[in-house]
Amino acid sequence: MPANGFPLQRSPDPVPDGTPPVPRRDSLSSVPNDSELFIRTTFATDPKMGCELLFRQYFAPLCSHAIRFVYDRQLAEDLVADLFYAFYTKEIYKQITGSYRAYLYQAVRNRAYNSIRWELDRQETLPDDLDRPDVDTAQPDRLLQQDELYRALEQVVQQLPPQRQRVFLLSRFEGKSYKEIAAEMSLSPKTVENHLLRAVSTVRQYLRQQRLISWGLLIIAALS
Amino acid sequence: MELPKELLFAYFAGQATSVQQKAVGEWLHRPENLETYFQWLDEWERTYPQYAPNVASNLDLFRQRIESPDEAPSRLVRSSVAETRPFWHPGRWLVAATVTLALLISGWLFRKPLFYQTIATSSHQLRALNLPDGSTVALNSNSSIDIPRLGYGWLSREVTLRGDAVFDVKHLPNNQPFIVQVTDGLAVEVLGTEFSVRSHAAQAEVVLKRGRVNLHYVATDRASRQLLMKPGDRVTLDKRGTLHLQDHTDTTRFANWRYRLFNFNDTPLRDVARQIQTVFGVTVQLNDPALAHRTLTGTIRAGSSDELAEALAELLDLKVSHRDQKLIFSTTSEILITQ
Repeated sequence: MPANGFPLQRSPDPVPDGTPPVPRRDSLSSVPNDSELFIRTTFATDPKMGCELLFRQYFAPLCSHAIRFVYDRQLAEDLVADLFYAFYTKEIYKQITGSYRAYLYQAVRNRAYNSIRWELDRQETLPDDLDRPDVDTAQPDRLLQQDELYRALEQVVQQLPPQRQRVFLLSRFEGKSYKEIAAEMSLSPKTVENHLLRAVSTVRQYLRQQRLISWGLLIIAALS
Repeated sequence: MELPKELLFAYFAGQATSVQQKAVGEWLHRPENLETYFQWLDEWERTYPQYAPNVASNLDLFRQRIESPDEAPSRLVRSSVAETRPFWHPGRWLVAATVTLALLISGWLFRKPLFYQTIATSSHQLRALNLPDGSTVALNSNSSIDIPRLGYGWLSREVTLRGDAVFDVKHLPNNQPFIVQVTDGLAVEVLGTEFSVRSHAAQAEVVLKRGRVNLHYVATDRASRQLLMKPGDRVTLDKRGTLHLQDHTDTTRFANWRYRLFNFNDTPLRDVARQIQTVFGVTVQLNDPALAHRTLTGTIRAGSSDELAEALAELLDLKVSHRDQKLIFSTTSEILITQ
């Protein structure tokens, strides 16, 4: 798989292998509800089976969504796996009132968002209501802020110099070592390391500003 | 308000104009639209995925994890996370160790104020203390006493005295001894009695009024000795450890200072001055030699040297003034002359 064109350009054709079958667009609005109904009845009899069904259905899109925030393949998959693990062990499925989908997306966003905040500022404590199941309390403002955040992240990665962007994505998406990247791009490992550090620092800097921008937007939204 | 799905997709992709973004925000503020938002987000994420994770292998891992919850904690600690967030950096341990050490050291240095309550009197002050077990201590001027904050009465009854005090000790049902530790190697052990202890740099003195006390002291040959005192005994111990016992002393005028009563019966002012000096530790100066021969009769109740001096001045029509640690008595006329 070519590394450069792969992750950030949203190609209209989904990458086929490994993904669950993508439903056709016209049938989508009704299908998830039906499948969730089936999963819901499964949860009533066999929670483990219900969790597995949910995992099969949502793991891939949730990872794809998480990576928009964390830009790290391993971290995104761990976040989603942790979410499902908590969902099962803490028996959160019993408290879901809305759709599983709404809960899972909101929870994975919160986890990803917290992960970024944690990375930015290690002193900051994580709120412990990470997995609160009540979607109704999901603040629309928070959703808008998170939307704004991942789009801004996308922009800053797009704006990286091409070579630096490639190093960044090879390292964070494909989990390749400095050596492997250096060999692939015929650079010295030192240069690769340098590119990576600068890329990460650019993203961080942008995120710090972005936080201010998001707060500004929130205030504007509240005033309007 | 209906929002076209295409508009939301454009919004997700970051292709919405600012006006469209505002419309999405307003649409999202209606609670009934939240479900639709997540439904379309899911649809958009499936239509334009970022990448394709390996669902099968992750599902296997997930199955293993919920089958064996014991292994779960180790799974939660990700190596990649440890790299980016070195929270338990060795330096942290160093900081923690340093802080703990500093706390221990300061706790050790300040153990006295931590474990003992110190009550002290200044040079012109007398004080009466009621201890939690019902014993009383009358503290003379220029003295201090350390009383344990914790466990007094059930762990131990041990106080440390510097200076001059009279103890009236209650006997407890559990025969808990009361111990007065005097700074220069003398300890008085009591079971319930009334006695006075006076310790100064040069010598220590213990007078027993009633009951029995056991005296622990370090003798001249550095050996630890004990002495059982009987009522009326007066014991002095000098710095070198020599002990003098004087029995059948007059205990009626035993440490009268603690009643804050001063009895004078045709007493010359010179003797009054001496009493003030011994009780309060202040120097008294009589400016006019004739003053020394004037006599005084009566009982004065005074808690401090100032109080006593004021009373004397009023009785004898004198002027009293302070200078440093000195009380100066002078006749009113003399002051007029000097002025």
